[in-house]
Amino acid sequence: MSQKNERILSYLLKSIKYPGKQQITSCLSRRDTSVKKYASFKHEEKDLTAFLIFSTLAILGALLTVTARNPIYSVLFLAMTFLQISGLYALLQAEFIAIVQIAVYAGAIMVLFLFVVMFLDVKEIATEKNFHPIAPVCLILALVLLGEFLVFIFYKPSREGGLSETVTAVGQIYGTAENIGRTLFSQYLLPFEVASILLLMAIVGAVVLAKR
Amino acid sequence: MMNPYIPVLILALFSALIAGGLLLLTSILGPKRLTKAKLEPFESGVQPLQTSVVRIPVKFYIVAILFILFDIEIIFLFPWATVFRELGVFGFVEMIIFLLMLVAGLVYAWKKGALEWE
Repeated sequence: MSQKNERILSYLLKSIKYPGKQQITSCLSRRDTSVKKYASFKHEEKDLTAFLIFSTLAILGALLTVTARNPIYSVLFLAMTFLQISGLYALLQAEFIAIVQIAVYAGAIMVLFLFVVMFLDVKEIATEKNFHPIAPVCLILALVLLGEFLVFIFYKPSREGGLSETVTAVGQIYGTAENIGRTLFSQYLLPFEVASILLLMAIVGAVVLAKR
Repeated sequence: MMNPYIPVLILALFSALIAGGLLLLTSILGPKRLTKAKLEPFESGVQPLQTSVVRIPVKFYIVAILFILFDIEIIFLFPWATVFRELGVFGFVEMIIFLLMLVAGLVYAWKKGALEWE
C-alpha cells in the first residue's frame, strides 16, 4: 500500500481546514486494519488450475473474435473473453472489478458493439476474405504491447522503489466493494469527482454527435 | 472453509444446463417435417420483405451510450452504498456532487431531445 500517498494526504489535511478530515482519517485506518487481518490468508494451488482455465478460454475467445466470419459471432466471442477476464479478476481477489467487468463490459459495452456492428453494412464484411489494409498497423501495435509486457515481466529494478514496487500484492480483502468505497472516498476523492465531469463530457459529446 | 465461489459455480452450471438442455430436448423430441413455408422466416404471417440484416438508425447508438454512462454511474454508487454509514454526511455530500454532474448531463440530453424517439 502506498504509504507515501497517505503521508501526503495527512500533510494536506493538516495544512488545510477540511470538513471531511475526520472521516478520511478514520476510513484510512479502518481499511488498514481490515487489510492486515486478511493478509495471512494463503494462496492455494488450485488457483493455478483456475488461472489456466480462464486464461486459455480468454485467449481462445479472443482468437475466435478476430477469425469469426459473422461480426455478430465476433461480438459474442468477445463477450465470452470478457467473462473469462472477469474470472481472472476474481482470482486476483478483485471481486468488485470482476462484477464490474460483467456488468459494464459483458453487459453494456457489448450492447454498444452490437449496435455498431448493426450500423455497418454487415453483408459486405461477412463475405470479405482478405485482410483489412489496416492489418499491418494492428500487428505493429500488438508487437509494441507485447514488448511492453516483456519489459514488465523481465525488468529488474536496480534500486528500491523501482517497477517491482508497483506490482507487490495488496491485501487479500482489498478488492471488495467496501474497501473500494473507503479508498474511493479518501485517497481518490478528487479523481472520483473528476470522473463525473468525464462522464458528463461523454454524455454531451454523444448527444452532439448523434443529434446532427 | 467452503470456497465462496461455489454458489457462483452452481449458478453457472444450472444456467448452462437449462439453456443447453432445452435446446437438446427440442432437437431430440421435436418432429422435423420441413416444408418450404415452414423454413421461411416468420414475420407475423406477412411474406418476408427483405433479409434481417439491415442498417439500424443512429438513434439506437445514443440510447446505448447513455445506458453505458448511467451504468457506470450506478457502478460508482455501489461501493459508496456499502460504506454509507462510515462515510456519513461527508460521503453523502460528495456523492450528491457526483450525481448532480450526471443529472446535468441527463437534463442536457433531455432538453436536446436525445431521449425522444419521434
